[in-house]
Amino acid sequence: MTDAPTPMPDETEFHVVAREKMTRVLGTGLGLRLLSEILARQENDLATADDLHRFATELARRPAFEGAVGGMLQVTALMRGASPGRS
Amino acid sequence: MTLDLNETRDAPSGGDTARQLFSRLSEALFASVDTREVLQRMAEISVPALGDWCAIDAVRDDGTFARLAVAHPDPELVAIGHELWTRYPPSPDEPGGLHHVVRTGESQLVAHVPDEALVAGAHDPWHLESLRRLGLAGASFLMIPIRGHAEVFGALTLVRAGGGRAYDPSDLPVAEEFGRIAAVVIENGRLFEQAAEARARAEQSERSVRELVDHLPNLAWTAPADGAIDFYNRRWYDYTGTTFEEMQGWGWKAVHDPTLVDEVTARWTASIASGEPFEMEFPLRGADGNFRWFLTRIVPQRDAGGRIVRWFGTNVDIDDIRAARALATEMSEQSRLTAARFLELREELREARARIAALEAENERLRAP
Repeated sequence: MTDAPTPMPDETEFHVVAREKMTRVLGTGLGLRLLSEILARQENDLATADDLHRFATELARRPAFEGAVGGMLQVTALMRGASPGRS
Repeated sequence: MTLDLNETRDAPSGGDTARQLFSRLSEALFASVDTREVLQRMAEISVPALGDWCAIDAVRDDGTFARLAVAHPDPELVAIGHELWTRYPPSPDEPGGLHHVVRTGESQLVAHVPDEALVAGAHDPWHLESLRRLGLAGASFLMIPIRGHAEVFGALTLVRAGGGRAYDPSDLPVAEEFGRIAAVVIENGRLFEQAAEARARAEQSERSVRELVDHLPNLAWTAPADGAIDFYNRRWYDYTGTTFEEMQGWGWKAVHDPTLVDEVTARWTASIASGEPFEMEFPLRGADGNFRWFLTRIVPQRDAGGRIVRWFGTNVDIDDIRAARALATEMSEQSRLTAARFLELREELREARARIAALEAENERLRAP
């Protein structure tokens, strides 16, 4: 149920990171669906670390495992250079 | 009543030959599975060929008797006989009669009952008058034990009313054969009842198991030996949003992950063939369309001979456990990376401070006069 960690066509490195963590913890079905929903709502293409941080912040507001994954992705985004003031 | 089984012409009385009698009896034996119906038919067949009256009585556990069948051509006399039986049941203190025959297991022949005996034994005028009306004054009796394999069930009573030819020892063989047949009927009836009771207990037991399974918090189901599921508990239907018609047999494949269903099917088929328990984790689709992971365990139930008669399966929701496990792994990895990056940053900071200190020192040196 989890995908192999290889980039899909037109995937940025930040999209790969988000997809991997979402599907490993939440499962392929829920993980991919939630990823698409939030990115579509934010009009977010995960091109930069700040984009990843913006995505992760919304995810972190959700309960249980979804929120925990959001928290992890926030840290990942910061480690890759995101500046919270700009995201 | 002397009936020769080899006799081919009518008996002197104009009734059945013994062969005809037993032929009719054979038909009665297979006409019904109800013991009392068969015994009543037997009693009716024996009248008037074997006597004017025929009664079949069984002894209860408490020593009293239950009248299973009675026959006489006159229904009014049958009603009087029933009233007599109810008011004055057989007494164990009587010198002969039912109690004696059951106790000893021996046939009793009374060639002639004098009216004086009825007078002496009657409890009241109605009793005496009724006994006379039934034709018992001057009557002749045959009382045959109905003997099973291990016990005497009761007795077959034949009465030739007063004025008729009295019974003699030559009448015993045919009457005793009737008694043996009655024993077979009663014994078969008891076996049939025991089988029905056992079947009812088994069905009740199965209902109890199904009710228990139905209330389990896990998904659960059962299948006969061939693995085609014939029962799912309520929780299964609540979770999957399916119906029995959709799921029965091998319909459960429809709620499986398409990428894993072939592997699940192969392993389940192997368990059915080998009789080995089954255990596997796989996702099942819920009514909302989302998949959740379940730990599935299936165990066989065997009969006394070791043959599998049923499979019992449960599916335990482990989706949250798997998510927690994956989250813990991710967080552990992230902690490692965070710690490594922290060390890098600390080193960079130290180097930066060192360069600043060197620049300040150079600046001081340049400012010195």
